[in-house]
Amino acid sequence: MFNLDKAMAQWRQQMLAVGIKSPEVLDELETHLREDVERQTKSGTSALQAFDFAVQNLGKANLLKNEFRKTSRASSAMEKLMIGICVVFVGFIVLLSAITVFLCYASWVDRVMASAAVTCILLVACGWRLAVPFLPMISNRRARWGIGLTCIAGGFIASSLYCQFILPHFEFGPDHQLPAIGVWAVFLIEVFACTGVGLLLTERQREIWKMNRLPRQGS
Amino acid sequence: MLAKELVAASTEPLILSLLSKGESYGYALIQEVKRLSGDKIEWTDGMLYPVLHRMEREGWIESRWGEAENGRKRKYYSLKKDGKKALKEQREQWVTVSKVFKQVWREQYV
Repeated sequence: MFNLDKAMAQWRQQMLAVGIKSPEVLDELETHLREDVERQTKSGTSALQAFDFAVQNLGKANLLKNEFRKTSRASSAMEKLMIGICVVFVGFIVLLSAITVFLCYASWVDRVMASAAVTCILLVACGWRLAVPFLPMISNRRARWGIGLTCIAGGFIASSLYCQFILPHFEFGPDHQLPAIGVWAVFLIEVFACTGVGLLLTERQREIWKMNRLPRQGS
Repeated sequence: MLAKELVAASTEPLILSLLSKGESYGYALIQEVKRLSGDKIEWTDGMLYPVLHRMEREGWIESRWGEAENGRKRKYYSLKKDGKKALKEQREQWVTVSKVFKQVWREQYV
């Protein structure tokens, strides 16, 4: 008995073997095959025959690979460049923070405290987009902008309050040097700002995020 | 059947023209071209996708993953502002070629 899901899985393996490795491209081509199979079976063709025709119509794997390679060459080069720039940028921040923390704070407790704050700031900066699908969607444009911007402003207010009322309880260094715990004020601004930006995203932008995470069809 | 070179040259303007009517997806675009051309323009199905991806990279079209009526994941394409401009330019070129042919053939057969 012909199993379409199994046949699709085998076809994906063949595509991977020739070098079409992008899951997004494979998902798109698989959708195409399934649409074609569905149309053919509706007009009376057997599922096995329909699948064979659909694969044949799609074209030879090697030719497809060459065509995709032509289009992806530039984008993958750009992606690598962007990743490179990000790595250098993050590396620079880490290095600068490490030097600053080491020179500014004499005690190891302060150094750990400040380093933890910098680490959390970097983690939120790199991973906040993963949290976006979990934020509530506000469909009304005005309300979305209102709440999003309030959230961003709230970060600055919370940080100011933190500096105003909590920081003074800690000992300042010579020349009014900020205590290590003061670095967390930046973290507060960042968390609120990221949440605000996440809330500002439209339904369509959210959809792209969400859909890219859907389990593979037919599996 | 149309010559391979002509099919290749008309692919982008055809995609732009079809998307100017509203968002669509790969399989529907192929079927629409087949129907409109009376099966005379036949794209190799898989070859459409690299073209769509290239056009997306050029900023002419954009894509989003959506859900079809049957719950299947489907990638929809729509025209962007630059795509509309590109369509306008390409349309002018094709209209010019078409006019020249009409003119030449009219003169020949008069």
